Amino acid sequence: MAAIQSLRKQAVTPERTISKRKINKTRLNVYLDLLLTGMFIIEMEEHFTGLALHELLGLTFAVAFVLHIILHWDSVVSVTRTFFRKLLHESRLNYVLNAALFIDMMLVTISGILISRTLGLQLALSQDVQRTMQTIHMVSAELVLIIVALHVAMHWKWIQTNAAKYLFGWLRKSSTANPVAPASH
Amino acid sequence: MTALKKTRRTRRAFYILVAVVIISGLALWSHGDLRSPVQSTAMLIGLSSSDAGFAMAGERGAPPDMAASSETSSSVAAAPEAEAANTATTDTTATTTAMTTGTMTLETLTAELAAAGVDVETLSTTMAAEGRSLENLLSVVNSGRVTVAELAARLNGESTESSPQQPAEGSTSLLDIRWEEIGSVAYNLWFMLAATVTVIVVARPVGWLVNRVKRPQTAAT
Repeated sequence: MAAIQSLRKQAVTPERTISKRKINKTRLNVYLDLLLTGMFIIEMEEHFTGLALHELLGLTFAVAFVLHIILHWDSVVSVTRTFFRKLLHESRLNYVLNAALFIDMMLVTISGILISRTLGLQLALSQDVQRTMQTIHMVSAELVLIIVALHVAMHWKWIQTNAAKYLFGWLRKSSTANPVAPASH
Repeated sequence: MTALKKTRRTRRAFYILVAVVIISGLALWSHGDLRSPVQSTAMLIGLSSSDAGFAMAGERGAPPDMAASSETSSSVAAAPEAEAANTATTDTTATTTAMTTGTMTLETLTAELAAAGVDVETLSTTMAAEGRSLENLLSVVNSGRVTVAELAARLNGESTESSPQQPAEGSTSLLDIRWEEIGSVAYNLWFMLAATVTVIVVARPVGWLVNRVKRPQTAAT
């Protein structure tokens, strides 16, 4: 009997660890995305943060953005492979939007680094190049806001589901743990 | 039953989202923080950057390395004007766009500046000599970054930089946060939520259309 139970345990354990790892990855995604959103809305307003914090936050955001892509790399690869198989699919629109976001984000980051004044790079760019970079930085940053808004909107179902699960899950837990007690007579 | 519950929950979440967008939108609008990103981009393209970057009047001053160049201004009164005007171009089409889409007209601005004691005629002449016009100032005011009173104070030579709320000119300290600009941050969040509502609403007819296009294709195969 004990041998059967141990065999059952062995059979169940790998599946459980995989699902646990998956859940942890989703949880990590939720927290990272929340951090990215917070950083992004603050980062967009240079006159709110000040130049030094803006540039530092920008670099941190770029790192977090790369991490976000790495965490979603599987889906990037799978959609890239099968892109033309199902053209009329929501994931294709997402893919195009994400590609545009990636390019735009690269533009913002590179131009931002080139015109940075507090990161200690002090690149000797000519005034014309600097102005062009500033224009690119500003325009692409405004475009990023629009694309990010669309990106959030396109993933709203995922956000809704996982935010309810991982961010507001404690609300449901507390309501089930402390149900309204029936009136006692 | 569970599907029905899920649908109800989704619908309830959507209604909450719509309510949040409407209420926060009204709050932002009442504080003057509601602006179109397209409009602000058009305005930013219209306003050329000075050496100090894109900082407009009322925003951060020039960084220390750039501030030196602006110190050569001949008069105290002309300095803030130059700072405001340097951010603007002679591109009249862009400024006209800002003028028509903004909340204030040129007449109102000149009247308010005159009432605040600014010599508008001299200002206009000085700006014209520099190849700029009052419309540049109007676009800066309409951007919401600076009030007419602040602009008038600057043009009158009263340094607003000395006020405790304002950061020091060219300040590059890390914790140089201007809390009065929190509305702009809130606007970004609001814009995302508003876009989400729009996409959810638009997705329905689009999804229906896509399904209609898909159906004959699958039937043919």
